[in-house]
Amino acid sequence: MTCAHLDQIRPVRPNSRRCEECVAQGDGWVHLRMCLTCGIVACCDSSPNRHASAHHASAGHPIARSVEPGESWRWCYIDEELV
Amino acid sequence: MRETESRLVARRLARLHDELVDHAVPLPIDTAAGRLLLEEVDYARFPPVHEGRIPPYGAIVSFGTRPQWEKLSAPTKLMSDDIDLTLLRSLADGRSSFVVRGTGGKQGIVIFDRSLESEASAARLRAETGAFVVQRVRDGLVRVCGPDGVVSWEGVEWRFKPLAEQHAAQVRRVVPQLDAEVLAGLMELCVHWLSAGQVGATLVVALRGPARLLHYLDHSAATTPPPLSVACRDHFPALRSVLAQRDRAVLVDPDGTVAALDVGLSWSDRADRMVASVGGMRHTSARRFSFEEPDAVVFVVSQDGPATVFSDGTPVTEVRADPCLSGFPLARLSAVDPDRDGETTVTCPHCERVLLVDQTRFEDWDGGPERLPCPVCGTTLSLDAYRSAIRGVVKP
Ligand SMILES: [Zn+2]
Ligand SMILES: [Zn+2]
Ligand SMILES: [Zn+2]
Repeated sequence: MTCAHLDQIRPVRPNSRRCEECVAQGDGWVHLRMCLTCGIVACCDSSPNRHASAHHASAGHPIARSVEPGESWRWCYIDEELV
Repeated sequence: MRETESRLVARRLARLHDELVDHAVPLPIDTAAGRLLLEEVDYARFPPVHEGRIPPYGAIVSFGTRPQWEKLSAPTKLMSDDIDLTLLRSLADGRSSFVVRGTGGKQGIVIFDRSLESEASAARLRAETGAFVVQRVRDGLVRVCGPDGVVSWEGVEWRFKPLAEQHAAQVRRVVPQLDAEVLAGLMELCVHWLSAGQVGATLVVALRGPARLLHYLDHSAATTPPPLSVACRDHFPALRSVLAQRDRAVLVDPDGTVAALDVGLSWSDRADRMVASVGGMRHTSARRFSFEEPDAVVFVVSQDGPATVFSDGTPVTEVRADPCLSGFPLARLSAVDPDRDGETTVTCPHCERVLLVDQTRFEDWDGGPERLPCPVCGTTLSLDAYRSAIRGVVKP
């Protein structure tokens, strides 16, 4: 199965080095992901608030990458696989 | 009556499912076999109380269509698809007898001639069968050993501890000199035997020559044990026993042989100045000693649980059981190997150690460099990348 959402990847840059939504709520996070359509950085599914998944659900942007040091893998929320 | 009962069970399972999701408990409950796992965790948590006594319990849940009978090295294996599950469960004590279930509806009971109650035994059983091991053991502790780690419930919160083998990769990156089998044995001994058994310990492992020839050691009270090895699982019960009765360090040779017990660690004034005191005495001495001895790596287990590996004055990895939901920075390791493109080295201007760094870079990132403390001396380092993580010191 190949991901049909790769065309929604844009040449984005990260908007922050933190999960701004978590910072605003005073919460912590485990790992950070960046939306490859709009560049928003948000926390992963192991974090209490799971803001990256929430961003996919609300904005519909399909693919996020890890921005953890040394990680470059990408995840498609729709196909639920590494792409 | 039966219908009411099954409705109650269904409601309880739904509540447990939501609880596990809300607390981010890393168990695959939404897969096809997840239902079985959910049923077994529920039963382990709320077993039937008989005359005021809460029975212990144990089950092995296979995610294949049938139980992995051939992988279970037990004298008694009874397949009994036609026996009522309630009766079958009352035969399982979670120490030597376990219910075995597979997704194809196959079930039975397996009886071992030894106790598998400890976390170490359960983790081993899991590794041998590839199944999930669910247990209700002492003081009502409910524990699930799975492929990612150990999930536990002690009556207050859900906790998760990654498997020892997952942390070995972190250590291997900065200490490639350490023999793979010795490393695997040490990680299992520290995490699933000592830490799980609340035994504190310090193990100094030499990387090149005999451990006795390391410089910063005090041999005044040292004793020599029979030839036990940290690479040999059969020796672990003896090692746990001796370590529970000792405070000083254990010396281990590069091939895993325990060379001496009751050895003291020392260090220079420079190490006192350079390496901050962090945590208890056991941790501070291990850290300062490791700063002096690049040809050694030190494994420390504190009595209250965490197991830490020190090399060149830095903690390389720490294994601990963290609450599933609140602030668990190390509980979930990344499932993917680091990208070699992001690997680089940086030399600390103060302690002059060469640091191994993983970075993520973006050409047009304009948020400035990241500032991180040197893990050895604490000096603030300015790292020119979007994100950086210092993994340890590169051995000279
Ligand atoms: Zn967040
Ligand atoms: Zn987006
Ligand atoms: Zn430094």
